[in-house]
Amino acid sequence: MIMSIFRSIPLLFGLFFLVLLTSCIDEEDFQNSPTANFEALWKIVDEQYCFLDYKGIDWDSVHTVYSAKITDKMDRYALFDTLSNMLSTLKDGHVNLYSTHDMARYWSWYEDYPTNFYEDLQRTYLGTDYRIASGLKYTILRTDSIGYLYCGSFSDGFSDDNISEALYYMRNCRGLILDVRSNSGGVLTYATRLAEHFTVETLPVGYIQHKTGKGHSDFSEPYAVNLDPSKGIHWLRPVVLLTNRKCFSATNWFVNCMQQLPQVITVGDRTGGGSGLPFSSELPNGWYVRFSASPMLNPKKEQLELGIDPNVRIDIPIPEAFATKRDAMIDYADSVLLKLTKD
Amino acid sequence: MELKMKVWVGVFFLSIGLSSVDLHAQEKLVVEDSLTWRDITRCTSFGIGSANLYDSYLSPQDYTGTEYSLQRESQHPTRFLSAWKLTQQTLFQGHFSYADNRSEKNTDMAFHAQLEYILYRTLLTTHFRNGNTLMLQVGPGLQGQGGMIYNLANGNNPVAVKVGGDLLASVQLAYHFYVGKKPFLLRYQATAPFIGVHFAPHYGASYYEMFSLGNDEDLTRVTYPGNQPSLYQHFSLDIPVWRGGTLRASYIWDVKQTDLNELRYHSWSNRFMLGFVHQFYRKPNR
Repeated sequence: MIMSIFRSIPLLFGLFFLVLLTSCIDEEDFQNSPTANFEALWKIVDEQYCFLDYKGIDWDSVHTVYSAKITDKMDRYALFDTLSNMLSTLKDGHVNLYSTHDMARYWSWYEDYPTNFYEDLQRTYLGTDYRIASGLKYTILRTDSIGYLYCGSFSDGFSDDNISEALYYMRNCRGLILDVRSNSGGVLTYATRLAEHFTVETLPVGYIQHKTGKGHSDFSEPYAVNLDPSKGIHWLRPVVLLTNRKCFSATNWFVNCMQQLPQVITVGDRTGGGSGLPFSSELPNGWYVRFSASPMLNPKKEQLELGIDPNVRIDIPIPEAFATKRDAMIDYADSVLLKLTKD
Repeated sequence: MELKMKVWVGVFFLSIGLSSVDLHAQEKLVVEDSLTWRDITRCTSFGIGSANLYDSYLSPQDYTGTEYSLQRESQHPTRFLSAWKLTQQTLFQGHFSYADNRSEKNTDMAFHAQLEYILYRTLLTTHFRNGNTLMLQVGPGLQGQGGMIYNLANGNNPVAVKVGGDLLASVQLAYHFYVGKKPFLLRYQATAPFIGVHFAPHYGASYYEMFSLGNDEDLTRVTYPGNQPSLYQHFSLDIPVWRGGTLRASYIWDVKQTDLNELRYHSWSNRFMLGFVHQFYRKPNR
């Protein structure tokens, strides 16, 4: 019997070792050569980037074109430029390649369009004695009793109290100009936090998806995203939201949320888009890559990646605006709010 | 249930059954002398070693560095089912790893804690003429674990959370021997998870979607050796160094791996540990 026990020992040990030896989970081993770095980057985009199908990009063809330009003798600067050019075919402001000497980017989503926001013109309305609550600049356009609140970034946090204080300051105003021009995004939580002060009921504002696998069309079912009322003060009077091409990423989502609210009119230029929640990864040589990984949709389940049109399209006429120091978008918003609230 | 998983479930219960069958047979043959064993053995160890971290949710590269560990172990015969001569082991492990990628331009920090409870059944106790004793024990166990890997460079995917619970299978081989009149203990332990449930985010799901937006459905997966081929191996030597005091020197090879929702993870650790053993004698059947 002792012998039978001993005979069972190899079986038990064998089971343990079999588990390990037959199932080693390891990374794909890329060497640190230009070719290997190119292949690693191409693979990251191939398996994780979320807009290849939506944008109709033949990523295999991109591989064919750019692999012919890669040689193991090229220096890191040439490699970086080639990889940057490859990524620019995605036409996505959320796609960047970071090295110690440069950051590859695609900024045509605003560089190719009118700026439509100038601080010199904004100063006409803000003056010098405006208030600042954690980055939120606000004042009252005194002649018309219209509130003006500028949010230039969602990167720096602000609290519900900051927003409530600003809205309380404008409590006697008939309407509000909410300006997010040239706000290129930041943290979605802050964008949502601001939008939550403009509703007293939960509203459906869109959907989010994520990739479920490496295939270009492997996506989860859209998951409904709601806008819940915030704590603090809620603004239910008319709002004109000013946008331009530099409204990107979290700001793009903020504009989408605000467009679902009945008291909001959007005025200005189309937003810059950027609706893919970005993920990060890296290459064997230590360069980082950022890319869109998780698309966010509007309530009709339409993509927001290429931007959101305003209800009223307006440009600031240049150079006339600098001569008069008037911001045509703010003036238009002011007149709209006066009409809406004259009774 | 997948076929591969069914096979592993079968293997697990087969191993449990095998240990039971053998035990009943050997009880008649082996003379058990409980007085040769201390009732309760506790050991607290501290260690350092190498860490190799890889989580494809964070990066396609692996990270290598240093791991610091704390381990608290307790073993003693059970008070229940005393006729079965069961020994229970409680093992707590805490780890902190700091690892860099190959280009040394980025860092992963990992925290991990786990608690195991293993119930050993003695398969074999052999007393040699020189007073040395060899003991083989096999048994099932339970394990709960939690931890995270934090990637310092990533934006919206900086963290990979590791939470789960497993049913374990473990084997322990202990050799008590004497050098002069001083008792030494050489021990080998191997433990592997067989069936468990682990937190498993979807392939491209962000933590923002899961926890801020609340899309937390279907975030767990059943694990088995096919998708969680992990193994913990512990070699130790208990050395009496002073009157009543025992030092334990250990080498641990700890392999944690999962392949869930096309997200691949490994944590390979080799560490050396030193600890102090506290033994308490308690009369049988007390």
